[in-house]
Amino acid sequence: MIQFENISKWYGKQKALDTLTMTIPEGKTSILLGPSGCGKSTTLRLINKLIIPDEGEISIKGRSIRDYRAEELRRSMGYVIQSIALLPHMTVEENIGLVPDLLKWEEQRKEKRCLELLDLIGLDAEQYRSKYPAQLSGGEAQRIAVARALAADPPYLLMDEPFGAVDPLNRESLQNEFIEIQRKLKKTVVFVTHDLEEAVRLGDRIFVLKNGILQQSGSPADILSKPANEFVRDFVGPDRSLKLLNYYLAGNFTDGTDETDHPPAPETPELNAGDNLKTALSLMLETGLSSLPVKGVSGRIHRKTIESLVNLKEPRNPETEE
Amino acid sequence: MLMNNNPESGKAAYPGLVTGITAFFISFIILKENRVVAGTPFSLRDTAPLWLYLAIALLFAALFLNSFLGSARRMQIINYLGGCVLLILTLTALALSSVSLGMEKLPYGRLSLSGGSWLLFLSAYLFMNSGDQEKIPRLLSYLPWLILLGFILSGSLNDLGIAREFENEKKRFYREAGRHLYISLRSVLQALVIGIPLGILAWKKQKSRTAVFAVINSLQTIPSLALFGILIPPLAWLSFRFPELRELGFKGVGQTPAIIALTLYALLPVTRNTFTSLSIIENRLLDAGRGMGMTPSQLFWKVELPIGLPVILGGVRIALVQTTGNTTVAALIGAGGLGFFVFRGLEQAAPDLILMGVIPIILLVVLLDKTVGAFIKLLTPKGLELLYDSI
Repeated sequence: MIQFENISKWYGKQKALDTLTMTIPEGKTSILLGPSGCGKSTTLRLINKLIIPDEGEISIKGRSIRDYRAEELRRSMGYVIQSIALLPHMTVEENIGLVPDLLKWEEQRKEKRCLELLDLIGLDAEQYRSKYPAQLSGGEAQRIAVARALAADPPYLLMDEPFGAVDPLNRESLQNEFIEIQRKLKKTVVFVTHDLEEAVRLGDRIFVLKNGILQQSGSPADILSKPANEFVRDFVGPDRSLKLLNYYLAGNFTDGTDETDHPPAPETPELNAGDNLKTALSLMLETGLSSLPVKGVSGRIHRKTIESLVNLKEPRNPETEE
Repeated sequence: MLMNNNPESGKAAYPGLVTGITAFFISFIILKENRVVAGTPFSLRDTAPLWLYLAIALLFAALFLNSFLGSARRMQIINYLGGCVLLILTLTALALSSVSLGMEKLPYGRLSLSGGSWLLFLSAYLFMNSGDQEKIPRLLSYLPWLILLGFILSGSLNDLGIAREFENEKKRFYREAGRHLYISLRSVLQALVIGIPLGILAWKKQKSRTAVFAVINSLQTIPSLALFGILIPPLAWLSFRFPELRELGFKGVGQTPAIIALTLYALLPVTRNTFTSLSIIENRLLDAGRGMGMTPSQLFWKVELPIGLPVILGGVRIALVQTTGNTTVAALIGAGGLGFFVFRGLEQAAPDLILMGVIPIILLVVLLDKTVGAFIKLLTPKGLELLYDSI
């Protein structure tokens, strides 16, 4: 748990953060979301003491970060930034081994960890360990940067627009891999982005910032369905209902009736449980059907259910739908 | 006829062939009965025995045929070896000239290299360098130097004018060579002491940047001779006004103004490369390093130094080469150095004396350049080489 209490920070006369108070939950992915200049990167860099606040107190598990030496604190937090920043004169293995090296791990342990991590991020260890950053593609380099951040198995992971510089196709697969990895590792992740879609896909909790002031915090569904003010409403955009559908998975919204007696017509398209409701709606609009079956899940998904979900005046909680 | 791998590679031999064959038609050597009189030119045919003359001609024919045959790599090795053989034959022709021209009867006589012998040397050089030098086996690359050294040490070239001049001025030569090296190295060292902090300053303080580079760039545009001249009056005045300074070697002429001027010249490459080395270490790398928990000293040793050092050394390399060359001019204001022989040779219209200054300067420059180059290669991490190659 990382707690911000009345944090303020000025850059000259410009107030970058204004009495920010928030709690970042343990073992979850928290997203700092907002337009550029809103103070989200500053907030992130406060956590590992790259920036020192002018006022207020930050504490980790109840202990003020003032009590930690900056270097020690940073070694316990993985750090990934947008511009990748692998050291160009070191191999992939040496880059991944940087923090373990600072922590004075033995060679064998470092090597074993490096191979493990390359495996985790889905790159062939023997092929990649001795490559140099100049020999990697942008997507590969960013995967290595994530592996480097995870190297010493830190409980915290700070990510500053980590996938911002990657092309959209690669970004999506990086996001999927991130979701997979986070499902396994359950780190406390603080993730900065200005991309709402990314925030909704990856976040367990979203903190929306503007001009250094916290606008709203909540689950992605909360942010999309109950924007706290005009700014958040504008930021999530007029198509927020469709974005919300993006967030709900088809497998969780079937009516639950047993259909083994009435198998669907062979031509009927089927949804996957992992498809989101936006895909479901799109398919319904295409085919003109009012309901669709979901592969491996009993029951059908109804257009009415979707409509009631986007009727944002009475938002529904996905948990009660199951 | 066999097929060429690459039809272009055969053409690499042509420059060597053209220069080499031209050598047959102009004078090969000039015989002077003493240092002062005008000499008599002799062609290769006049001085060399027939077998040697034919051997050189045959060598060119063989190298010409080679340019049509075989693989590019074999062709290059043969060209290289051909160049070495040509070097041997040319030096032999020079050695035998002193016999055929009856040098033993002329105690003050001397042989000066003429256009033909220069062209044959050039031709040999062109053959040796007709392709990618990286492909020549390392051992072979020392061969031409061994050949040259062998001929010089055997004494068979002692009748050449340059050898005669050297014999007469041996003591002076070593003294001036030492002085030359001292002036150059001292100037570069001083430039490092001043230039590296200056480069750091220019990088850290935006305001000082324009001023720093304006000054050292404009210094670079002053001709070296003029800069030596400009320094004479103030230094002369200083040493006149403060005799203590004269004790320390502050004088209007001599080594002091030379070293000051050469230091100023060497500032530009050193300062600029220091500045560049700092600016290529991007903020994102420092941010990442800091964010991972590196202390300032770890950041310096693991990030800043390995990335920056090769660039700074690149500046040192330029400064050394440039300063060693410029030191030649310093002889004009009484600083000594190998330029002494160059200017005395010019005054006395004695080309051999000029060569005695020029050749060692060239060798010195090449040696320093290669030495620092090897250092840079050693200190440039492989990942950076790949990075720079990919840009």
